[in-house]
Amino acid sequence: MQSGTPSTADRTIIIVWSWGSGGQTADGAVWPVLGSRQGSDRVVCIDEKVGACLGDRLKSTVSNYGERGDVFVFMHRRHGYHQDHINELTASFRGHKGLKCCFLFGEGGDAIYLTRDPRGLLGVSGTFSAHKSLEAAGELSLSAIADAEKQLLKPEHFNYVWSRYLFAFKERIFELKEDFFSAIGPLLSQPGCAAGEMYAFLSQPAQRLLLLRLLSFVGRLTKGSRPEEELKMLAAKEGRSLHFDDGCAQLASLYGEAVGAAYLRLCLTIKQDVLAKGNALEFKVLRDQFDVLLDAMPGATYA
Amino acid sequence: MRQLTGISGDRPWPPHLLQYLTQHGYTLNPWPKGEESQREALLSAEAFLLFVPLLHNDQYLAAENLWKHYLELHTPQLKLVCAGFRVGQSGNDLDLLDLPPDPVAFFESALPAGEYWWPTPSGGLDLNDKLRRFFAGHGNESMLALLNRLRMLLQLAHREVVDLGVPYEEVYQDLLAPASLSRKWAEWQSRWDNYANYFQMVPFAEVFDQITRILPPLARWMQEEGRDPDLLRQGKALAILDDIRSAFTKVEEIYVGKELSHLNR
Repeated sequence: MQSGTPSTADRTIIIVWSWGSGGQTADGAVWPVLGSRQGSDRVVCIDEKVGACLGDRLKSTVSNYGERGDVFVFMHRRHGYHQDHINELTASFRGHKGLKCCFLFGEGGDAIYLTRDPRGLLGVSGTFSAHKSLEAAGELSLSAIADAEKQLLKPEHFNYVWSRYLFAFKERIFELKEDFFSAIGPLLSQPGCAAGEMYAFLSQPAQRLLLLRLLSFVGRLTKGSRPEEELKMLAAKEGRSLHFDDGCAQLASLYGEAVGAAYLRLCLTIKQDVLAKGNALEFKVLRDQFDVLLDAMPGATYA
Repeated sequence: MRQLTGISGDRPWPPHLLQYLTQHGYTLNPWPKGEESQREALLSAEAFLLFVPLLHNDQYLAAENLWKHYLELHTPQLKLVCAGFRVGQSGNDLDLLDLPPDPVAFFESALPAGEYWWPTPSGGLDLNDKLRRFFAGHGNESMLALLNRLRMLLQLAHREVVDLGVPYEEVYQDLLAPASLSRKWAEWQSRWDNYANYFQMVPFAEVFDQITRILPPLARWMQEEGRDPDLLRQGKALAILDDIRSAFTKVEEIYVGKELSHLNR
């Protein structure tokens, strides 16, 4: 696993988004990063809505740049992309070099947006720049562009997004674990709970968001279903990445079989004893399974 | 009752921990505001409890090393205990899913803050690293460097107006208007807001709060590109910048210098 700092291999971020509406760049444009070796760090802009399955264009673009180094793919949810497309893309490149990671993004709530994180890359609509309102100091212009004429991006923004997303799944799982154990505080006077007790607890309205995140984590949220839409809405409201629709299927291919196995073990416990009336649940067992997974994932939790 | 003090961030202490402490004769008091109250809290407490990682504004933060520095300086004999949902790895870790049967023995055997040990990393966002970036991480664009450049400009303008008697309008046209003060200030303020948000649960939180409180008149003046002569003439703009600079220097000397020397050991 490489670190977030520049390496000798190419680094390509392919972003499928509404580039056409921004007027700053065109579908198919390539924006190299200022100062990278012969433009070996780059962002490739694709503006293409998706049908039932991925078109050949995205796959051939990944394949082309994948031969030269590592590739991240970001797919915009509003363009119709969802978990099945992540699965399809990762399956197509399983065992090949190149495709490092795929992400779904949207609603302005992810770290790739300049308005969410000033070191991000994207404006709000097809641009690499944005305006942010500051209560005390008017409006601030934010931009990831180093040279608009030559179409060059700022290295610090590219590097930040690369390192931030390289370990993004670890951050989300870590936060799920902490949020879960904080929420179940009222149950912690016992070392565990009886079969079904946890499910009853999570079914309370106050725990709705946590329940949806757990369902997403174990892959139980169907695309387009009401709970899935509800989670999207709540995540947008909170301005945080709370879905796992783009992550869990890639854990084994990204980090190896040990991580994949640790994820499956944890998933099984959550599916059987947290989200169903399976067996009695021992909190320490669940915590240990979270920790085994997190410890097996490389890198720091936060970039 | 035995006294404890500490910080839990945006999440409440788990009820079972409070119940457990009460059962064993402990009272956990919240960390008070104000230097005097804080001094008293430290003197009367047996240990300082930190709920790790510290949750603040939906971010999990690693503030344990900053708190260790603080306690080391103020009450080196006090025990720093990090409570969290992870397996304890040292005698200063309190596993909230496996509380020790005898808390008195636990607190007694924990190491005082003044001894040479470092807290188990909580996994949160490293605030030591954030603080280093705050002071130096952006090279010439560090918060302090930007502030110093603004200060030099204002000092020059102040000298022209007050010491040399140059009409304000002239100084404004020659020095202040071309400097794009509102744009520079918006950048600085944006970064300040971003950083200040991280540092609300740390030992120097009140220093940062104080800076936030004194900013508004200067912010308004900058937003208006320095058109109002009074703030500059009366020396208030420079005084605010000086206050910020001295507060920054104090925090940097204590927390960044200390951390760097630790890393170099």
